[in-house]
Amino acid sequence: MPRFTRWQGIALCVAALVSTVWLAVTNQLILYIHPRYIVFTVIMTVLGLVLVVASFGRSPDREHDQEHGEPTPRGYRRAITVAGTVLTLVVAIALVIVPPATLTTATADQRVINSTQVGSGTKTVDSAASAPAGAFARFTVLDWSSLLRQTTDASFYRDKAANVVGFITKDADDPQNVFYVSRFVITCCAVDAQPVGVPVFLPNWQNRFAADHWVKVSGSFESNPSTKSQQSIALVPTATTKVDQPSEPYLY
Amino acid sequence: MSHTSIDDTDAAAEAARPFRRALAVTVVALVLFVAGFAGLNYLQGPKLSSGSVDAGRVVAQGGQQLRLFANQSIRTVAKKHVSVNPAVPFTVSTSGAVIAVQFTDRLRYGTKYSVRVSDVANAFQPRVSTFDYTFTTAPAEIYYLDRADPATGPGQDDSIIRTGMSGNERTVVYSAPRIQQFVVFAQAIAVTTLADDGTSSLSLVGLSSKLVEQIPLPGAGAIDELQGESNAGLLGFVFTSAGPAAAREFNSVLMRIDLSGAHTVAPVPDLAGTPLKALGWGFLGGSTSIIAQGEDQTVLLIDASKSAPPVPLGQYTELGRSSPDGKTIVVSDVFGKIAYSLADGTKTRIPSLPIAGASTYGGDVVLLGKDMARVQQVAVFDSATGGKFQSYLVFESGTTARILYQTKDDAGSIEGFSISPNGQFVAVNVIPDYANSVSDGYPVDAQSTSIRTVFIDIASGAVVRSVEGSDESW
Amino acid sequence: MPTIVGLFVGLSGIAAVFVVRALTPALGPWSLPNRVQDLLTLSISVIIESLPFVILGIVLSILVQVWVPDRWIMRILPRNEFLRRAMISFLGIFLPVCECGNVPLARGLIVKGFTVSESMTFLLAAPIVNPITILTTGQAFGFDSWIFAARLVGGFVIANVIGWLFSKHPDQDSLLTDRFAAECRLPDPHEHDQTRWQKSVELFTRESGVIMPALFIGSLIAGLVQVAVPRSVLLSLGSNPLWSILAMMALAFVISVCSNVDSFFILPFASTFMPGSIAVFLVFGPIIDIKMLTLMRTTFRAKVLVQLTVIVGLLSALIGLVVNYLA
Repeated sequence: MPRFTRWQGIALCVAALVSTVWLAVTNQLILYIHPRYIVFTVIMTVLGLVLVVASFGRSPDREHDQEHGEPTPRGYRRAITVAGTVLTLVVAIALVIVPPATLTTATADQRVINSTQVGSGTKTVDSAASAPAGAFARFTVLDWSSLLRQTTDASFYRDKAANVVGFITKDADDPQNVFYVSRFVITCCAVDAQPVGVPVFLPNWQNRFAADHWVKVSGSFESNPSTKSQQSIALVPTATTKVDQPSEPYLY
Repeated sequence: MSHTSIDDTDAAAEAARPFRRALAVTVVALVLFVAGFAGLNYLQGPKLSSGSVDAGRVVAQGGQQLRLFANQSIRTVAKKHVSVNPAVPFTVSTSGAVIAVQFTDRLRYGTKYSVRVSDVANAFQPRVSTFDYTFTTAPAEIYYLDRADPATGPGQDDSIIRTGMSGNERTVVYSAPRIQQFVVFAQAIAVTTLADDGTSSLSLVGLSSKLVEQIPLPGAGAIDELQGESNAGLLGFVFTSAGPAAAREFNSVLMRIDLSGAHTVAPVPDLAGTPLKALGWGFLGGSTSIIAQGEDQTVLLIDASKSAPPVPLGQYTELGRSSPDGKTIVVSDVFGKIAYSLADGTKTRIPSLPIAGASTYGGDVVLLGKDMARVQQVAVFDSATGGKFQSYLVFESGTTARILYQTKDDAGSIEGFSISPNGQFVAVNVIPDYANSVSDGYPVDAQSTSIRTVFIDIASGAVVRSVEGSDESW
Repeated sequence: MPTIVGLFVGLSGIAAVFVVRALTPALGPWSLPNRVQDLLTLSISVIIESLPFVILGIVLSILVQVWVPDRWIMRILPRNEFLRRAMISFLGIFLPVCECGNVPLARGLIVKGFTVSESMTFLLAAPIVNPITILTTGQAFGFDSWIFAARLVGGFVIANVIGWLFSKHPDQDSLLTDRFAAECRLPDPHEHDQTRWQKSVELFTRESGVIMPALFIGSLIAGLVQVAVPRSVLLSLGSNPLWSILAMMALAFVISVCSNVDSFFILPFASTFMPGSIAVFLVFGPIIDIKMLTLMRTTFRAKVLVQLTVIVGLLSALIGLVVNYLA
């Protein structure tokens, strides 16, 4: 095995493992994976680091791996190999220096908000109907958006005050007056993040906020006053304030 | 390139032939299979994978949905392609792969409904199919109060009993001395009991847990007209403090309790914001709204779930009962009974239709919700029997009246009646032999010891069940 | 003393990376364009999600190659090649790694004496026929559902058909990349002067050198495709019995999500998409996706992967169509 390949594998391991440990220590691993995998990930990462350190201890001059090597590639194959190596290094460097971040509206738009049906474990109309009045204040964007996908009966939402936190995504039909207060829902890792959102009717919201801003919206659900939006029910806010991104930006 | 290397290549190619052949055959076979099943799928119409309906809720509330899940997204289904048997009013909506059939009214108890949706089409495929789905609604469940007969000795408990419309099964869900009234909720029953000094106490009894929670009242006093709205978890009653009338804190004040929140008793405010003294009151079926008549005879519409001021509906001599769907109430003025539609405020006089040519005097009436169809208790002056009033329970629709119930030999008395929430049954409280009736002597809500409750199917007029007791709760 | 020096240099390297990692967020606001930011977030999330499984796979591979006595696994397997492959399909029950961890393990099994086609059978069956996947699929869709049955039976059938097909190939080594074939062919030169621990560490270095770059490239491509291809294109196809199957294969290919959890991922789509297409996602996804192809490319020739993809694709499509027709 060429010395370089060997070095590259270990270097990539170091980049990935050290980043994982740092993310775990700073409690930011949840930006990438579901919390239930954190313990497993940390255990395997530590095991990986032990093996990496052990590999440093092996003296490189005992290498005879070159004998196994495949013939040095030529021409376009060589170009592909080099390009691949450069790309892996770019990713590795990004892994180490770019600050961790959540997914943005780019992915929310691209994946179509509320495109999935209501999953298991979410609030059903029946369970919500029998919930005590105080419980609604704790309903998340996910809870409300699942309810909105189950029923658009305005009387169901009467007297149910909502209080939700999420980031702003534009409504495609009426970007002037309607935005979604949205969150990503994660089943395993950020790759499978599904955007969910609750439509909010706030005329000329762009004057105060921009897409991607995190906001806290309090209000109640009414028939959507917007004529252009396709959402029949919207949250009409009594208060909308800008907030910091929560430490757990995803919902599960 | 040496000769041997060509041989090698040939030999390798020769050796690889079985593999290539197997590969080619597999690929061709798979392509054929895939094409075949793709064709079959193309020619197959949508299929019904499952349906869901809450058999219990559908008899308890209107506006419930039967959801039929197709195995794929389908085109919007037109209402004319949906039929429900037995026929009931419904609306249809389609979303993705789901057809929702929403029943406008409550369905009948213990009845098999067949729903057929024809011409179900997928946007992509030429074939249409027909979905058939049947479901059976939950049987009626009735609770009633069977008071112990004081003649058989003191110290016996009164019982709240659960039973159905068929069979003789009866389950005692709660027993206590001197039960005055009760109301059934999904998880619990609210029970008022009487102490020896005539004051009431209110408790919540868990239906499964049997845990008893005493609800503190605003002082000692008597509870009357206990009513509940099961879906909204609201309980209400008229409360009168103990003691001489002048010194009472509350005198016939309407109180409410939100069972889904803190179980505290609070007076319902009137227009002026002071506790409402109610002459009569009731929940509007299936909602959080209360209809009540204040001391000045003003009828008020009150939303019990929030603190908005009541809406006055006008002054009437009497407040009657509301229809099971909560859309119409009955009020009286000096000229007689009026149906008052809460939706648009229209008022329609309720005539008391003659029976067999004899004119009748209308008593308590409940509108069933459609076309002024109603169940009414009427009295007929019977000159043949020496000027006695005879009491009937009649079903009136349009210009015809049909007798639902009259006591045997007209010896008894109809004490009251109630309609099942879906309008299917009427329960009549009767004292079979009024002349020899003995009261149980309770200081509030005294009742005859011989009182019975007879359940009648309104549509057929058939008596389906009869039990000893009264104060039935659906 | 190169050992000490190596250790020192390596540990300082780790420390340096950690310091850089800890300091960079503080170096002022980073404002990457949203799409670039999401591309990185998605790619990194695939890496972080797969990394523990890859390490687990490498560790199991080391166990099989170095610590399990020679021929130990071989002895319990039946001689008849069909029975043998059928049994190998169930090995995943004892080695519950998801698909990315299976690549190093399958490589280890080849080194240990499995034929290439047997190892392929393991590689394709193990992600589906393993306790975690069975449990999560059953939880998501119900143990009596068509989807559950189609996934298990489908995974088993596909692995055995592929195994049978490639066992027909006369020159098994020619299915492998030159580099890996060479690794297998030559006996380890340190066979006798190395302890098992040394051999283990040596194997870890070698496997991570092969797998890690593939994982990084696969994650990057998976991230790229996700940012580039709008999901609405896939969703609009969901209700057509034929297109939905292709759409789900495309989604499975792109999303590269682990077989242990993909049921939960796909569950919310279950009402939009037909059951057959969900089954296709669950059968095709664990075997063929961007990340897996890059990982498998470390071991198999491109031509083999093309043949594999075509047959797995056709078989999964067939399973999906049958389920759509019957369910």
